[in-house]
Amino acid sequence: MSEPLLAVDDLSLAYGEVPALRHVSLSVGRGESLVIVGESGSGKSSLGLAVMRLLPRTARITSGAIRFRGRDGAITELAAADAASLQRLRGREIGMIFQEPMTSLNPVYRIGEQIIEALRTHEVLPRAAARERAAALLAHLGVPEAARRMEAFPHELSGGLRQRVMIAIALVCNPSLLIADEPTTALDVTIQAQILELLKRLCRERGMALLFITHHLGVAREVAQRILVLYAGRVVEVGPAAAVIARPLHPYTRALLQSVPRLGANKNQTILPAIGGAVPDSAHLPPGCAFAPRCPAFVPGLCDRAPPPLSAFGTERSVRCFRAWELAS
Amino acid sequence: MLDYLAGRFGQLLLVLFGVSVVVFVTMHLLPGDVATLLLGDRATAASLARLRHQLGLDQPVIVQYWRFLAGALSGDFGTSLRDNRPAFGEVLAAFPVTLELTLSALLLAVTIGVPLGVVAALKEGTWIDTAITTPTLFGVSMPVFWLGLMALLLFSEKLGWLPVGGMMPIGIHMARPTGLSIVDAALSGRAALVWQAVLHLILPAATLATIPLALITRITRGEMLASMHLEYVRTARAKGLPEGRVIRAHILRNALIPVLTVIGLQLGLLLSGAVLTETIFSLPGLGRLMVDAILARDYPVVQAGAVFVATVFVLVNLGVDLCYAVLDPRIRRQ
Repeated sequence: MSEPLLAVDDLSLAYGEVPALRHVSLSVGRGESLVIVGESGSGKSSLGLAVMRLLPRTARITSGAIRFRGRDGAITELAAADAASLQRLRGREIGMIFQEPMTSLNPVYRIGEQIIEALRTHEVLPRAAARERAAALLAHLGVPEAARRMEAFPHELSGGLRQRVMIAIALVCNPSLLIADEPTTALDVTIQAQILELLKRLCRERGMALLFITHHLGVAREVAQRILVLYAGRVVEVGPAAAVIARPLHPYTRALLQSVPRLGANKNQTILPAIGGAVPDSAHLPPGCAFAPRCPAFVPGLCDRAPPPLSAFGTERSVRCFRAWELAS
Repeated sequence: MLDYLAGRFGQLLLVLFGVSVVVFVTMHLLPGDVATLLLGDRATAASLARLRHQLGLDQPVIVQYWRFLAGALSGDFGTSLRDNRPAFGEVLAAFPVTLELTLSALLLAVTIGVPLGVVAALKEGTWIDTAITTPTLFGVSMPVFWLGLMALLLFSEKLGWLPVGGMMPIGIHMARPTGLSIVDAALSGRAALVWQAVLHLILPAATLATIPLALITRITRGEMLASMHLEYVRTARAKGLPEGRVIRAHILRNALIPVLTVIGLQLGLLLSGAVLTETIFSLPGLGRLMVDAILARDYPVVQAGAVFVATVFVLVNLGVDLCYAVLDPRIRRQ
């Protein structure tokens, strides 16, 4: 972990005047999988897009840096990189897959063509060789009759197959980091499990790091080595996945965990607890802790004065809560 | 794909059948009948009856329609009431003039309009966008006859750069195997004639191109803006494609599909609706022929023209639909 592959440092960004991320820092080591968990509006997707610098035009990075260590060891500051260096890294060293595999694939091109396009953008090789590599990758990703499927159009494939095609596009150049923005949300539960299993296997085989974005802690548990919880654009908790899930420190993380259905849970408990209230309006956060209005552990006079700092808890964990220590004991 | 073709072809036959009925019925709905119109005030009952018999008007309507349809299928709409030449022949002779005018206008509109629309979309919200879209608003709302006259006054009368009208300088004779003046001039092997043909075409083509140019610019811009923010465009960027390729292969490629519809519709409209332009620039095209025939109550020519224009319109649309199927794989499957 001495030289992280990706280091986001004090990143803030805003859509117009509305902040989406506030001073977010994180790091992903080589081959490590970090899962960003948050509700809609927490800023998690903006974070993934910021690393790729694919944010919509209205978004503006207002502070911070995104440092990426390339294969050659050189560090690129993505937040300030020019178009040429971004193009060199996108698809080649950083791959990305999205939530909706149907709309993320171009409807008018054959899927083989779309994979080959990614490959030939970054590597000089003859069409036939590119074709062969693309088909081999598809087969490796569990697409049956891969060579024939190369000729299919996106609308001719099922959702699970489409997401495998998206993964093939992202991985065809062997990137060292894969950003996956809710890649299983649009899929059936059984297909979800297959795709998660596939992503885990690929990371293992290739030593590829994974930045996985989800709203679902149950999914996070499947793939994460470390978990980072975002709330209203701020990091509220970060730590090793096993520890965060076994003993969440932040009341928000705890509430998220309680709202995940579990096999073998108490049979009498038929209603899953939901978190009351909603994510606050990002333009008008409460003066204290952003979670205070929904928090079961809220203490007037303490939590509503100033935002709590993100503090170290032990050596590997951090939490943004005044009462974390008190609540943990 | 074959199913699709067969289906489209069936629709085409249905539409043409409908057109033939409408054209036929229109003739029969007119006050009085053709014989009265032809013979005028001095007609006697006997001469009317004779003419009606000659024209087949004393037959049952269904028989008349059958004759009309059978004739139409073999290109026989009767003879022009003005000069006794075959009505369909007159339509065919006028068509190349209109075709040449329409294709030139559309070529101008597409080659200028699509790039303008692309640039306006890429520069959305800047002064460049405004500089392109504002004139297009005038373009779509400008009356053609006014525009044509102004262009004629400026470029022909005042500046003397371009000819006033017609297709060739007066007194020049050349063989007209195709009826398309540029092609015929080229076939004659005389470069000066080709130049003359182009000069004569510039003003009418530019006038006729105004509305389609403005429309195509606006639609291209709108479609570009709509596809620019689609998720697969984001995927294309995530692959690391250079921006130029993202625009050409992913944004424009998909934006052009709806633009094609507009081009097809405009082609059909221009082929049948170049009346004003042909009149202003004294071109002996289909529009002019139709107006003259209507004014002279030359029914065979009107009918032949109407059926011909409808057929061309339907064929053009069929062509557009086929292009669609090539451009958009999702359509092929339906």
